[in-house]
Amino acid sequence: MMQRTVISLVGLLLGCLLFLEACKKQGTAAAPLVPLQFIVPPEFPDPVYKFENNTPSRQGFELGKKLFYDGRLSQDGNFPCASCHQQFAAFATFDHPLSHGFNNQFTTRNAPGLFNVAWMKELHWDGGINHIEVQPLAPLIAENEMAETMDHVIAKLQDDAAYRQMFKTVFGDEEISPQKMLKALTQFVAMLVSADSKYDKVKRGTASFTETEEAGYQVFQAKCAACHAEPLFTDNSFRNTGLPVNDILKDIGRMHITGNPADSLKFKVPSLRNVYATFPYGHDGRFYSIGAVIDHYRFGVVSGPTTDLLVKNKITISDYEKLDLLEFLRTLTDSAFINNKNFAQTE
Amino acid sequence: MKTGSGYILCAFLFLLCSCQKELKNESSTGKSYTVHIVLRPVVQGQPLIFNQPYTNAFGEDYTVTAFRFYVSALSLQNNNADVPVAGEAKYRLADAAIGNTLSFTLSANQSIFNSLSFQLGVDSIANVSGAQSGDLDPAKGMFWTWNSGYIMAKLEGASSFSTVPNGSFTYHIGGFSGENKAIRSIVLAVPEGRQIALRNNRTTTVVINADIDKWFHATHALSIADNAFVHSPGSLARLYADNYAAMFSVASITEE
Repeated sequence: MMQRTVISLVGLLLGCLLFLEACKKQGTAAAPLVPLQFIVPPEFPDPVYKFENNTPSRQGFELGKKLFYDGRLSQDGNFPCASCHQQFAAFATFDHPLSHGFNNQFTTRNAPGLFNVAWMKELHWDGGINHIEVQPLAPLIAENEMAETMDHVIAKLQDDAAYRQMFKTVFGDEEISPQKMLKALTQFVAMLVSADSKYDKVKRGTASFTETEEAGYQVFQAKCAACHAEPLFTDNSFRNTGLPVNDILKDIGRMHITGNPADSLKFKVPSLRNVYATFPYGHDGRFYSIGAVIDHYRFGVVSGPTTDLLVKNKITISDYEKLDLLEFLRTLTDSAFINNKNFAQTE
Repeated sequence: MKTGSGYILCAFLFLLCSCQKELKNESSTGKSYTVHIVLRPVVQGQPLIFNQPYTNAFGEDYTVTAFRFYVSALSLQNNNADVPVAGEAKYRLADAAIGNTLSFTLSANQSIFNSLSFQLGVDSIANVSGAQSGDLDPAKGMFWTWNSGYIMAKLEGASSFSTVPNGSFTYHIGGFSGENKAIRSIVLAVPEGRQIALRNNRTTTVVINADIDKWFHATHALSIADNAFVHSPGSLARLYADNYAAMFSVASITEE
């Protein structure tokens, strides 16, 4: 009798343990995630993207970086994100007015640099993307960019044991989904913070402007800062800066998204940080030098119904002021960012 | 010793309970009511057959090749009482080409209902919150990648009246904010003002027709010749949304 009770007790205990095991979602624990802190530079406002439901980790960042540099995200393997977003160009496309995509096609706009993206409420020149996590979908499926389908990309990743392991480490499970892929990519791209230029050092009191740079800063504050607002050097608004329409591209900008004629020919104000690294300039890359951009505001503005009031009557900048301004803009290059090995492809 | 094993048994049962993922919706009386919802794509009341020719109110021929829409916040109500009878918050993508997306089961707390409501489309918050999963997975083909936001409903087909070179029509209707938003609240009364009484351990099936023909002619007259494609939010998309809001009706309520 006693023995039977003991046996049934042991049986019950065993049953309990089995149920406890079954309750556990992920039985075997993978390597623990190393938390990664997103550091907001002291002068910067609160970021728009706060990594909600996407807690950054060292492994998540590394997975995002691997995806960013992986050609398999494109149909023919030639167009990873990094093909249009090159680190040495502050993650813009160096020396290409329009980037190249699948099957010898041009994109229709100049690829913008990727830095301080976590502070952008809308992405793309026309602001069509309302959240950083969903941005990669656009180039991924565009026929003139990466020309892939989400299902096919996920299948390619799922076939790769290294990816399965990385996704399991980061998201707790080997099954790869578009959501997980997009969150991982965001852990990399949102971490691209650029705030260590000479300008930043001057602001922090660890460097000082030359006389010319200081004079250029005065010109900048008086004539440029209303749109290219510090410290991000953009107010992230959409404005028509009086660029005549390209007859082939016929790009109406923000109106393409809102359908509102008042938004015709408006494009996002780009940041001037790293401006020397990101040439050419303008939404269609029509300007080959910063001097040419400044000259556009001095002499070239074409005034139309939606042209911004701040540039409608052109901007008076003397030749001397232009030279000073160019020197100041040079102080916005963040060499530490451009050369940061953390952001480079892992071999 | 007997009491000892009794304690263990209790602990065991407790474990069992905490293990259960989805608790059954049982009313306070211990009775269980189940409602089976079936969304049935139809054309002029007849079950949709892909690629079969139909004729709309303008005398235009058309065939249908794709028909999908988002349903959420489905709820059964009793207009004579304040408490909801049954409901769920989740998003469901109903796809006429995938049978198991068109029917699902709800557990009810109360036994009497006389109306049914749901939202057609995806709430604004889910449109601006980044990468989603499940039926909101952007790989489902219902998310605009160039202009972030969900396509609330999609109808594709062909017609000799289409002005598009390949004779197709594609209505991708979306827009989650402002005056042109394409989300619609659908409220359907039970036919002839009946009260439906659910019975313990029986399943009641509610068949809801979604009549594609209404896309062309309901609140607004929208011929294929005039518009063969809509691919962005705006004032035209809004007109289609007004029309598809009128496509639903309760076809039958039966008890098994």
